[in-house]
Amino acid sequence: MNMIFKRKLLIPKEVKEMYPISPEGALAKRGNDARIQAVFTGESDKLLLVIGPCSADREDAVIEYVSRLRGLQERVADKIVIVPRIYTNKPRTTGAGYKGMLHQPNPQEHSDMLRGLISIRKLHMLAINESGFSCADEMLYPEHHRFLDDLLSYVAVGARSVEDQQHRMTASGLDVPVGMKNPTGGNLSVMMNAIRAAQAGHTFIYRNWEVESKGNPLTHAILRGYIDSHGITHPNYHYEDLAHLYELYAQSGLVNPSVLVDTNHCNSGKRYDEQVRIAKEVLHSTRHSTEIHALVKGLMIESYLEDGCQKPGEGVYGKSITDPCLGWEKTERLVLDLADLWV
Amino acid sequence: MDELKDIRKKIDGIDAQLAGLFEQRMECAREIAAYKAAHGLSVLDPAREEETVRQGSMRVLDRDIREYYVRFEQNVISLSRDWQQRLMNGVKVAYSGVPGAFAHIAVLRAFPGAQPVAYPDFAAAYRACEAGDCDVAVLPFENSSAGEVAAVTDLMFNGSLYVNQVIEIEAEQNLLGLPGADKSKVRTVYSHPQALYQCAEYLEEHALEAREYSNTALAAQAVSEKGDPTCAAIGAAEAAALYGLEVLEARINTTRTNTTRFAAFTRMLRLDTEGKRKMGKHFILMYTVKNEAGSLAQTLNIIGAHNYNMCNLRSRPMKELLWNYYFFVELDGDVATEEGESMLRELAPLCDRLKLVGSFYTH
Repeated sequence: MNMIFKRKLLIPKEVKEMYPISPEGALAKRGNDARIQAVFTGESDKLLLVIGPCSADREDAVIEYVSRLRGLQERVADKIVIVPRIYTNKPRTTGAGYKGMLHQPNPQEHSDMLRGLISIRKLHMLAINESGFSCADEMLYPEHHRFLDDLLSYVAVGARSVEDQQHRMTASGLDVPVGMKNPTGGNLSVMMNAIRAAQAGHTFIYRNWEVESKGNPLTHAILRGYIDSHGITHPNYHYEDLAHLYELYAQSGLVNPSVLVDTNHCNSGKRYDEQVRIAKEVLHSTRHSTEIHALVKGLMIESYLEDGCQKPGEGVYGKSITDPCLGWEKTERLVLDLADLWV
Repeated sequence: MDELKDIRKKIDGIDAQLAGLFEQRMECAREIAAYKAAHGLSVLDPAREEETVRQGSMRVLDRDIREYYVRFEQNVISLSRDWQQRLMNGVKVAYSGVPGAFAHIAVLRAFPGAQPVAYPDFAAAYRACEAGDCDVAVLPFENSSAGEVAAVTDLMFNGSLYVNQVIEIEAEQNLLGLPGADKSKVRTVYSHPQALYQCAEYLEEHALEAREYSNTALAAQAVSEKGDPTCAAIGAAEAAALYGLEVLEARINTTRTNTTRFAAFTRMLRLDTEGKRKMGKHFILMYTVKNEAGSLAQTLNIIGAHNYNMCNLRSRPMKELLWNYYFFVELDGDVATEEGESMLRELAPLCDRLKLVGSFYTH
């Protein structure tokens, strides 16, 4: 091995002691968890929106964003459940570029994993204290979930991780909904297998412990579009795609059949403003079939304070430094429209 | 004539306003004096004075008048300082030693106008401040050549007081003799071994016989009592004044780098957030870590992650726990910031005991 073991990092217990969740925060999370889980079990017919920046690059802008979401959530509370996405670690196709706050607490500086581990907890803790939202994050490194398990209400497993055994087994041990994205190549059986694996219990190694999980019945599908072998992007949010997924679920015997549609990524071809049309089209599809209406639980939308994206060095407050996002005005309009369209 | 009268009337009116404002300003100074006494800060604060004058001068548009305004402001500040020193009259400052000793000089320099109170040892001075018998305790905690003053470091860790000011006193050794004595007639000198060592070259050059004394102030007292003009003491100029001696020759020490740092201990911690000052700021943390591999390194990693430069790290045994140690860390930077707050918060779970002893400006 050519690794230099630089320093031993903190354990989750220590970081949690540094930034403990407040009693109010814990109470808020319990309420959020119940509301979100009810959507997946079908007890609630509200639309779930996992919405927020592609990557949480800076604390101040992200906190402002989630605080604005709080006001918006109150306005649409009868129709929509909002889970802000605060993505603190980013998978990169070639390993180069900004890997998220976990790696680079300051996007302009070198990696500092110790600071990163603390920063991501601090950010999620601030979010719940400031806005009452327990948020969504991507599970890129399963071992790190324990730094945030008392703060997150939703976890997504990305298109590049969904085939990985450790991700699937860790998902099986979580008590919050876990969304399994279809892989970048679009093979839905990989995603369905991931859901199957995570809904069952396992014995495995987690953080150097032998652990046993009970299985997570709230594991579900996320359709994010795909790239074919010729490098061409294809959407998979259309009525036919949803009907196909319904069939797969029907044959599988899995519980809580559910899907979120990711309106960005390969579904929009990263044309962030197409998300508005795609979101509405998905809702339109649900009106044509009660089965699809029952299957579609919500949407995953990439949105931030400013439209589009920038390079990390440009420094525009509230503008994505990774994939382009929908700006606040359009986001607000969209969420209000979705509340009207969701029946 | 009437014209002159009118202008003078105007001046009288302005003076009347100035008088009222001056009174208000002095009332503020009274509050400042009380604050400084409670937090162990000196009346004299050159950085603040400079800033006040600089900012004040900007308010005056006429360049010629500005020059006079600067002098006016300086006078006002000087009066405010005198007033504060008079108010400090009731402030008791504990030190360890006898009048004329270095600790006493540190008190006189940092708290002019205050009442120095001598205690037989460091702990007694410290406890006097803890108990409220004194407002401030001035104790040496580090010497540039001899290193830490272990007993004071231990008090810093175990006691309840904070440090908001550090006073640096350079050891300046003078030949002190009877008034009117001829320095060429001096044959024997008395002083503390450290002071004699610092003046070794001078003693050799003048073929003087050295006699050791337990401290420089007692040596001065002895010379004074002997009344023998061939005897002299080595010590600070302040000691000469106290024991009726005269400085026969100033600065006879050849070792110039002997400086002692005194901490002004008080019962209140002060974390000021006047960010504008250009002066360097330091702060002291003391803590114990869990008895596990890498636990000290974890704390240092946290300090490093917040970009604080460590000037000094040392360990001291915890007497009540055999072979257990606590750490003294002096850091460069301002702890009264978000960064500092986060650092303390993150250190807390890693340390069994953690104390922010204080933060102070460096000179």
